[in-house]
Amino acid sequence: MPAKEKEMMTIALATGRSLSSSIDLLKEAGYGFSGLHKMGRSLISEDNARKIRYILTKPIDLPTYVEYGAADVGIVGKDVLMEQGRDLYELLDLKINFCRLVVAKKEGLKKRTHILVATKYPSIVEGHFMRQGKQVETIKLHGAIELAPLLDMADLIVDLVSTGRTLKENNLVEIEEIMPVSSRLVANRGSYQFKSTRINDLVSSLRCALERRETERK
Amino acid sequence: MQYDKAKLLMKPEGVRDLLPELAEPQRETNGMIMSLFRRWGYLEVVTPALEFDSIFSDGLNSSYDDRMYRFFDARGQTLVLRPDWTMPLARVVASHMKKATRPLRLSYSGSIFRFTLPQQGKPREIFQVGAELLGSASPAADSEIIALAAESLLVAGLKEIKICLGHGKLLTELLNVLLPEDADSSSAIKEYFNNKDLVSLHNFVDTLPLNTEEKKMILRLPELKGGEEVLQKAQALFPADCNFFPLEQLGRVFQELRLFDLEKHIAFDLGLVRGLEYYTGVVFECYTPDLGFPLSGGGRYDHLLEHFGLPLPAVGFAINLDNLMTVLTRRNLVKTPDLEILVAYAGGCRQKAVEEAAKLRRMGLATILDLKERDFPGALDYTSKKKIKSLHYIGEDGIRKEDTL
Repeated sequence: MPAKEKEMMTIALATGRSLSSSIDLLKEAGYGFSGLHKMGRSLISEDNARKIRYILTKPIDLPTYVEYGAADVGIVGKDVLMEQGRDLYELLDLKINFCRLVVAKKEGLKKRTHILVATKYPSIVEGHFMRQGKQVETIKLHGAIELAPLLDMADLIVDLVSTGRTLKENNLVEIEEIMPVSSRLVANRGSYQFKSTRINDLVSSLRCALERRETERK
Repeated sequence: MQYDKAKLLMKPEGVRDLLPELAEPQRETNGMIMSLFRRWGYLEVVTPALEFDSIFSDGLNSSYDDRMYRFFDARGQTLVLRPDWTMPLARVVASHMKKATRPLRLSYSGSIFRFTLPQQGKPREIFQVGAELLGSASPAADSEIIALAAESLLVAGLKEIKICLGHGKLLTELLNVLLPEDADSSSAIKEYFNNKDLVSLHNFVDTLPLNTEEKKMILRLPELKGGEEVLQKAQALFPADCNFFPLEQLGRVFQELRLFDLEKHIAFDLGLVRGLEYYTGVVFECYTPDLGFPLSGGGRYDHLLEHFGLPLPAVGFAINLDNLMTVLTRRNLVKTPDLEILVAYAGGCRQKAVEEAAKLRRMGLATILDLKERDFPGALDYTSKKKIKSLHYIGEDGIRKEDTL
């Protein structure tokens, strides 16, 4: 349906640290336009030439916008996707905003039978320990997770680390990696059927940009 | 308001009330679809909302396990609120229609109940209307069900619909050739397809002992979307010793759908997987622009009835009526119910008013008979406040008719 393909496509970007690297990658993929740099100050920006609308959401809300079709596609971390298990297409690993989701404990912590885990990711934590046949209790926190074991509120934490410096500074040691995390391109189910040409164009442009980066690295 | 009084007004998460503005259009749309089913020879079945847990949790349908509302009856037996219609229908056929001449064409409409994670805005009571064709394994049966699914959405008022067509055994057959000894990897791959997680699929396939061409066969599958040419592309891509029956079936179903003049609504999506083991043949989902969720879905499930001791091939689909009403409302295709006439009367004229109302109702007009006497200006004011189209005012000197809208 070529007429429909000319309709506006909405791309959701996540606020925070990952925003600038998402914008850089979009630029390299040929989607650069002046309004992109104003994102952060405004929540919505339209690239009329390409018929693309960009919206800005909190990372944790982004999958919801895409699942409900308020945005056709979006860029968001695998940690958030995994935690929420929303019904959407995960199309491409954008290989930006690399970090790792790890289990850490206070140095010198003894073995316990009843384990309390402080985390922003209770579903991932439950699933992870269940697969190992272990049952844990999770305490959901929204930030500064490292504080919980220091104050004896939790035995373990599960959190994102990039360099590991924060763990060290708080006297915590990594004991296990749950998974590597990077940003992903996700798409709404209906959009992926009705705007498939536009979405596939975006996917292949991003893929080309990623390949160029890979070559340059070598 | 006091807290305990305010709490009385709450209802459980995930269920909702329908007010007249939506309840009537929903009933009408449901009625239009049910009578379409009737015109295609599908007869309605009503089953209880309560069933035994075992019909849903054994056999092929483990996907409902942690999503059912379960409770005990007085004898300690586990009951559930039905999470779908297919299982109860299969039970009905296996217990009451074993000897009926086949194929059987059955339809249903009503609520199903599925527990969802909290605070996702997902409904837990979903109104479905659907049809099942049991006892035929032919592509003609597949296409009849798909055509009926399409016609239902068209008859409800939608114009632009897309039916995405895949096959429940395509991936299985491919993996049987590529990974014949490796059931774990095969089921991991199926899981990634089912979750639409193409990134993990890619990463996982990369680790398998397959050559580049073979990896491509799996990874290209989600890209095989579009018209009939997709089937040839798949045929060319797949290994020669693959069992091609899924592609052949899809081809035959597409030819059939041409006869119904529906091919413009059909798009193949060979990466489409609906659930893991349930579907044995053609699967499909119907979409419309501007709605992020499928409006309906279904497919062929030839082994399900064995579970009830009656091996019988079957194909069916269900429409999510809540989603359909959302789209119709968004496109202003929902007609709000209106009241046509108020019969009001002056003192001493109630007998005549009752007769007038009876006459109008016999004509099929939605007529309200006033409950107390009013003067004419008062009646006119009341009519427009209630947004009633016209007033029939019965006075000493006869009827006065006035349109308010």
